[in-house]
Amino acid sequence: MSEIVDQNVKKAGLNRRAVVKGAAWSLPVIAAAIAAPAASASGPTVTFIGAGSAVTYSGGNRSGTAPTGFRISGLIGAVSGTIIITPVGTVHARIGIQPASMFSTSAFDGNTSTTTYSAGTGTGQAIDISVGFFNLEDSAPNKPKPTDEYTYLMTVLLNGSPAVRAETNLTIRFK
Amino acid sequence: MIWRHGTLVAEVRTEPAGRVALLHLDATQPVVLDGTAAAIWELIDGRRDHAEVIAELEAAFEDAAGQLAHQVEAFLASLEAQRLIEAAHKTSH
Repeated sequence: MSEIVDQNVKKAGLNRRAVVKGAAWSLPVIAAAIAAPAASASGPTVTFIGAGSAVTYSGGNRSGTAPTGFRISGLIGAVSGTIIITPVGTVHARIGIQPASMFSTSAFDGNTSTTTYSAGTGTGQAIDISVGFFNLEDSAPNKPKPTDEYTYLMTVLLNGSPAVRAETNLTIRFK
Repeated sequence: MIWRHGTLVAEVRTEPAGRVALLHLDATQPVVLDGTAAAIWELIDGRRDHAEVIAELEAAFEDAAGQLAHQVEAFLASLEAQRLIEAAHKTSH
C-alpha cells in the first residue's frame, strides 16, 4: 500500500511542486554553486610571520626583535608593494631590508627606509616572503650607546585598490 | 530513454522555491538547479521516459517559442555528461 502511495506521489510530479501552471518556459540551466572564497571576497591580506622573534641585524650584528617575514594571502597573481621602516622616537640607527631577489635596495630618507617588493603565485593562493634586516648606525658623536634600544614601526603595503596594510614593531639593542 | 538520478549524487532541495543543489560524490563543486531545471530534475524518477517528461513540462509551462522539447533534450544530455543522471535500464533487474 505504501508503495502505491509512494508511486502516486512520485507520479504526481510537478503537481506537488510550486510550478504555476501556465508559467512561461525558460531555458533550463545547470548553475555552478561556487561560493566565493573569503579571501577573494575581501581581497588579499597581509599578515606578519613570527612577529617579535629574536633576530640579528646584519651590518652592526645587533640583536633585537622583528618578524621573520610576512604572508600575502588571497593572491590575484603578481603582487607588489612597499616595506617602510620608520623609527619611533629618536634613534641613531637606520634599519633596512636585506637584499633578496624580490626586494629593491632599501632607500633611506633620514632614518626611514623604503624597500619595494614584488612576488606572485596562483590565484587564491598565499605566499610567504622571508625578511632579513640590516642596520646602519650613526657615527660619533651620535653613535648609539650600549644601553640604547630603539623601536621602529614596520609597515608592509600591498599595492592594490584599496592598498592593504599591515604594521608591526621592530626593536634593536646596542649593548 | 528513461533516466534516473545518479546513484552517487547527493541532493538537497528547498521547498517551495524548488531550488535543488546537487553534488556528484566524485566532483569537487556542487551545482544548483532552479526554475525549469529543477522541474525537470523532479520529473526524472526512473519511471518516466523523456517523452513523458517533456509532456508533463508542456502541460505545466507555456512554451510560446516552441523550444521546450529541444531544450529539455539538451539539458538531459548535460545532466548525463555531468553524471548527475544515468540511464535507468543500466541497473534494472
